Amino acid sequence: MATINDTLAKRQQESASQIGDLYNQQYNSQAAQLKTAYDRNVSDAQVAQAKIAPQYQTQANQLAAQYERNRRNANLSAMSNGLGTGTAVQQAEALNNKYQQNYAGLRANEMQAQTDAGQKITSLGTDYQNQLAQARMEAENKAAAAKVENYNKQNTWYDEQAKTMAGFGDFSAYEKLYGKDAADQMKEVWIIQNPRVALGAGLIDAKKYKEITGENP
Amino acid sequence: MAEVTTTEEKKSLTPKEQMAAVETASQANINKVYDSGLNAQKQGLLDAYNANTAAQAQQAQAIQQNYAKANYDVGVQNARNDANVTQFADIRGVNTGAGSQHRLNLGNTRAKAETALAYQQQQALAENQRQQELATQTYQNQVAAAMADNDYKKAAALLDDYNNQSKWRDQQAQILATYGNFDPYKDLYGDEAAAAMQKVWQAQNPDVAYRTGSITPQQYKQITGKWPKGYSPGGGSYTGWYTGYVPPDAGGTIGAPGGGGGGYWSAEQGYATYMG
Repeated sequence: MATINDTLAKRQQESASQIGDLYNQQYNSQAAQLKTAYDRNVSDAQVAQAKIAPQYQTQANQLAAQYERNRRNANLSAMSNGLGTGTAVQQAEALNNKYQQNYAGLRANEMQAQTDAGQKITSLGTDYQNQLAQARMEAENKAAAAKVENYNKQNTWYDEQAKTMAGFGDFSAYEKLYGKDAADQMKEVWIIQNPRVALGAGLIDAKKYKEITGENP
Repeated sequence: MAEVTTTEEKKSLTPKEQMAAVETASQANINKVYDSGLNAQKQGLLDAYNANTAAQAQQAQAIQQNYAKANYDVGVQNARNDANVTQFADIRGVNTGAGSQHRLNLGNTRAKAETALAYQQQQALAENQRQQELATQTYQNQVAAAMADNDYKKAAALLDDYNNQSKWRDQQAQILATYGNFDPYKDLYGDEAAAAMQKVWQAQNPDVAYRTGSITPQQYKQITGKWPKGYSPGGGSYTGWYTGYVPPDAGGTIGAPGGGGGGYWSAEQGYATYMG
């Protein structure tokens, strides 16, 4: 048969476990919301990042097309104007340098855009992880406070049960609080104050009853 | 209330010791709960830190790969241009000197582009490194803050517990006192005051006090003016309630009316004498 102490231990264990589960559930729910928001943000950022390469490729293509047009126009102009070979080559050289610089600049800008986009995704991950850790910290703090409060409530409950049980001559709960000698003494007092009940409950025999009351039961 | 003693040990523990054990168990619970909470918090922060640094390392790798590709593209483009201009120069029959000049220009342009890309890459990697260091610093700060916060909350809980336990001890002292046990009051008020309280209780509950061995038959008689029922002062066969007569062999020492030869003693007189 379970004793009051067994019951207390069980209650404390169960309620601590329930509190842990409750705050775990809250944390998991919060973590799921954070994950949903994170996934959505990352997805948006990835879509934006995926557009970078095609955008710059389009610009590179336009640049190349423009270069080709300029080169052809320059050739035509050189021929129609009867420019000397040296001048024509210099003109081609200048166009080429310009194109090369523009192309390199375009690639550099693309790289910057790719790096920024990658960093944004990484930052989203950092924010998400930090928010998760923060949520966990808050959940743990709340759970700890709730567990301590619950522990105290259970002890208060135990004290109340000890009092109730003492009213019926059972001092086993008080034994836990004050030790066996003190609990035995309390029980003795209760028996002396309630000899008839004690006799009826089988806590004392007729001889003891007579010792206390001076009368036969 | 945690299990703090064995059955054998309980027999030897006083209420003071047993209550101290209950308090210790309560404080141990607070320590355990908050220590466990802190460990979970630290694990959460470590998980976040590991994920963050891994993401930064991945980003660094992506930067290097992207810039390597950009460098390659610039090189390819440069080679194409070289081919274009060379072809153009060949068609035009440009001499070797002009060809060399053209290659020098191309080389310069390419070197400038590569230098710019390399610089930009270094900037990006430096920023990435800064982010990694920031993540480490943030992690260390968060752990320190979590520990400080946990210490603060634990200290508050322990202080709260101390106050609760003080209140609880007072309540338990009251309960024990109703059963004639004034040991806890010794700690609160001192031995002398507790002894005086116990005397009052004995005077108010002489039968219980006598039956539980808290007072002697003589003290009982001092309080009530009669011998306890069932007690025979001369060791004879006396039983039952004593009516108040003080036999010579018992009454002589307590100054009963009638002198050392005994006499009658009222409860009030006995109580007054007993309480001094």
